[in-house]
Amino acid sequence: MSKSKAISRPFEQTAQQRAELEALRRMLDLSEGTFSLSVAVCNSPALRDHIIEHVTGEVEGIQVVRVPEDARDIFDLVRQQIPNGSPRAIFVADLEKALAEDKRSRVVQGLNVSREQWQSAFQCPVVFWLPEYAQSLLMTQARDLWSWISHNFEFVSEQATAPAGMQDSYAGNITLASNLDVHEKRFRIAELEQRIADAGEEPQGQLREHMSVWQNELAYLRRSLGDLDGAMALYKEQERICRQLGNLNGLQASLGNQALILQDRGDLDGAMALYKEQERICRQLGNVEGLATLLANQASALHQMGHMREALPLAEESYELASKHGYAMLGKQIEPFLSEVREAAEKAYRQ
Amino acid sequence: MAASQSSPMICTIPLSLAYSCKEQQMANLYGMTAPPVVPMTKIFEHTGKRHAPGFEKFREIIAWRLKQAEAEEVDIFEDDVRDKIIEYSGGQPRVLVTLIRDSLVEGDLPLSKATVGTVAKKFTHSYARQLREAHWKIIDQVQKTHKLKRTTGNDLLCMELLANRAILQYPNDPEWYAPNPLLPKRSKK
Repeated sequence: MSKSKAISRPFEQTAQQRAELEALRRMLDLSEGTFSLSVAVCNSPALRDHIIEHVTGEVEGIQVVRVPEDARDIFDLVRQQIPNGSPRAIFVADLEKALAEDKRSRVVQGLNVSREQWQSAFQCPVVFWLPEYAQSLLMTQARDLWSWISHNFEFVSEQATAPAGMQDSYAGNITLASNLDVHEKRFRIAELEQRIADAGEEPQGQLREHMSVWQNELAYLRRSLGDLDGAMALYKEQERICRQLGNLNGLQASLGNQALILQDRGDLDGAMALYKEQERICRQLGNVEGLATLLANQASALHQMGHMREALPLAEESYELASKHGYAMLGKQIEPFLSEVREAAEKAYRQ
Repeated sequence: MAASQSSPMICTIPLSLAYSCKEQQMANLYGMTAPPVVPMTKIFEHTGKRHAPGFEKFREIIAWRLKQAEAEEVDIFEDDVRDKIIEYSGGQPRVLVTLIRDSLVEGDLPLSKATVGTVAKKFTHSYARQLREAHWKIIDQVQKTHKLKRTTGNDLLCMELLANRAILQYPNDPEWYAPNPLLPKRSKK
């Protein structure tokens, strides 16, 4: 579906999917107590499950039916799982599993002939969750059922391909990404994951640089949602690509981010080793902002280790660099930490 | 069996049967010249000029539904949005209603052009997912000639396009065809 197109607003596709989530909620309210048939298109099973979990947590009484691979009659399966009347809504997920080529025709035929039965059995909204390819399949092969679809919700991005991603000038902007809410982060993660998959195992040329940027943003988003293992794997992959490309700036960022994860996990020695390599690169590159940040991070790790005397000069250098070179925001962030380290160091000297 | 019933009975037949050699056989069987076709409403001439009577009929459908809902047009549609929806429908009453219904969950009232545009885009995405290059050759031909040239080689594709209403049939005099206004726009090569 996706075509390459310049992206005009930051995370435009993410915002559109956020609006789709609101539309889905509105449909559930408007259609309460009456039959309606909808389709929600989502390519990422992880994103789909997140949305389902969120909506079922918010709206009580929604029943989720997962279709097993060997299902033949979808209506019968749903009726068996929901025998007594109508819940608030029914979400049918994993239908694509029953649409393998060898058994598809029977499932599709069943969907077509059962159309009226859905309406008479369930006085509530029924939502089929499908990936794009399965939607296309039902549109062309289960036309009778499809002609009854009244609402279509799209949790897919038009910029999920690698070529489209290369036009995304906001990719890798961690400040913007940090402002996304939890659902938007999930939408963005699904978009970036598809882009990276689309770029293939060994991307070439410019695409490799973009890959590194997407991986960095994806890792940040995963980390911000508490998926430290997922984030770490991506930062390591980013490190590998940056080393291959000789991209020192990307490399120092990747090392710094890996160190932060190790620090979060309590592996302070591991974190310090990475910070030291990052420091060497930043000094070599003259990257003042990166250096100021990582010195503060190093000081923080030493502070955690109880090495206050070693932490103080690093925190002071960090603050000085930020103040001298006009990184006011960074300076403001470091200032209270510096006071804390100073106080702790003085205490250590007194003892 | 149907002919022996005393009450009227309407049977619908699949598109592929209507476009087959068996159509005349069926017509003879039920004593008619040809099975009647429920047409698209012509809202545009094939030249692209708006066809006022068709457009007016679709406005009447909307007005009637609004009356049933005891709603005022001004509370439901922003300026020109009602006519935009009619344009998108391509003269299909079902699509007209689906577009309005889907727009009602997509955005706030009164419905804006942006809201209706988002809904229309989802239809466009659905078509983009199912159409293949071979379909586009036929669609491009229909766009240029307003005729559907069926051959042994493209018959199945033509049936798919008609069944999915990617190509709309306007059985006026003379009969003509047009691509669905919700199809993706393709850049000219």
